[in-house]
Amino acid sequence: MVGLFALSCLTAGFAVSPNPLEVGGELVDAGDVTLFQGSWVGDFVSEDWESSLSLAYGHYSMNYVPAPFDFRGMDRRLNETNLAVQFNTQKQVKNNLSLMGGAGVYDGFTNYRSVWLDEYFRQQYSDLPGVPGAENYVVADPKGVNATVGARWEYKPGTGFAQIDLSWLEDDVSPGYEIDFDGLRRGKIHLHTGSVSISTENVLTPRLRSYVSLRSSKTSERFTRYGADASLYVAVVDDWIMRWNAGGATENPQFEAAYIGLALEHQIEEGVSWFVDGRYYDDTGEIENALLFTTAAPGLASERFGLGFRWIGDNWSSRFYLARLRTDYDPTRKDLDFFQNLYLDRDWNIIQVAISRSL
Amino acid sequence: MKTALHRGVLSPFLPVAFLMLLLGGCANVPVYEQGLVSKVGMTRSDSMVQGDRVNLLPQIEPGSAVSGGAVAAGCTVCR
Repeated sequence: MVGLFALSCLTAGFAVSPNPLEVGGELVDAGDVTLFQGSWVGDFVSEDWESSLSLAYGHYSMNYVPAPFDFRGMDRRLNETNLAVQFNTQKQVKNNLSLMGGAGVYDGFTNYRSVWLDEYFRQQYSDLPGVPGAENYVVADPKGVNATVGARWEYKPGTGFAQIDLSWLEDDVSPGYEIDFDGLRRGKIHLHTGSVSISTENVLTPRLRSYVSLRSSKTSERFTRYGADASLYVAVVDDWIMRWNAGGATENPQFEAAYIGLALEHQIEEGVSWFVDGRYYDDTGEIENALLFTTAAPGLASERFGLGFRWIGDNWSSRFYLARLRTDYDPTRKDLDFFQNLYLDRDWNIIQVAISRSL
Repeated sequence: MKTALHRGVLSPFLPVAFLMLLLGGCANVPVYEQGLVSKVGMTRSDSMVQGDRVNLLPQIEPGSAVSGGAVAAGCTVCR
């Protein structure tokens, strides 16, 4: 619906010229879990408006393997898809001020862990004749909508920018379940999220650019999550670039996460460059509010190393990236942990390919 | 936990971010000196070609979903 609305605006409201069009694919594979996302993005620029329409297709496939002591569990091969449409636009209302807005919809699971957990709950609780609350089980139908408004202020012409964004999300999720002597209970299906983010981007010197973002978001029945993200772009010499990125997030009662990354990019000749990057991520594990067994992820540390190539031409441009990501979860009690095969230490291979065409 | 990197991460991080913000307020770099900072790779971009984001990463690292994207990377039951 949003996509059709966006297309009608683009074609009927004002003369537009697409600039540019991008297609990209991203594959993240660990052998037993494979994630894919394909995207198409079109930018449309008119005299007063800059707009973009993006379509994304996600496919998640994985081997569902229950814990050895899960006598109700069965091995299965799971496949799920996700479709998303997003429209964003901005209009310059003054020389140094632009207003922005956007909206989007999606249909399908938003992450592979939801798919895995949904299968676990289906096997455990979809057929419980005579158990109180058995009727609480529902077949999941995840989907959602979002809307964003914001403003961007160029407080120093060409040098300093500040931006504020307000977002609203409505999600129908695959709910969680808990069972005890009172019967089967179901978590919320419909969740509301509101978030605000402020960010600033500055040219500090002829060789330094910085970006800082602070964000808070509040989802139904959870505490507010606060996050920060900062990047520093350094032109070390004329043909070498260094990019630092660091950030973190915190949410009561116990979630904390932090990450730091570094990329080095070398321009071989005009428009042609290669780069290497590395990143370290660490968190304490997710919020735990289950009664008996928790589905929350244990603490995670991960390391990523990658190598990429970028070519920027007059009309066509492309980027290719290969990386290896190793995830290492905190140990859990294997005799109690039903989710040990979900939160398994894995070696992931990441492949990204993107091509853009300027018209 | 395997490391303590996350412990109190925001306490040293925020002053650095605030310092970068202050430096930005003091900076005055004319456009004709911005050739290097305007190159591809020196600018923040949502473009799949010009940026360096891995879109699927927040599924694996739930604390990465700080800016942009939905909060959907969290666990199902917690939400």
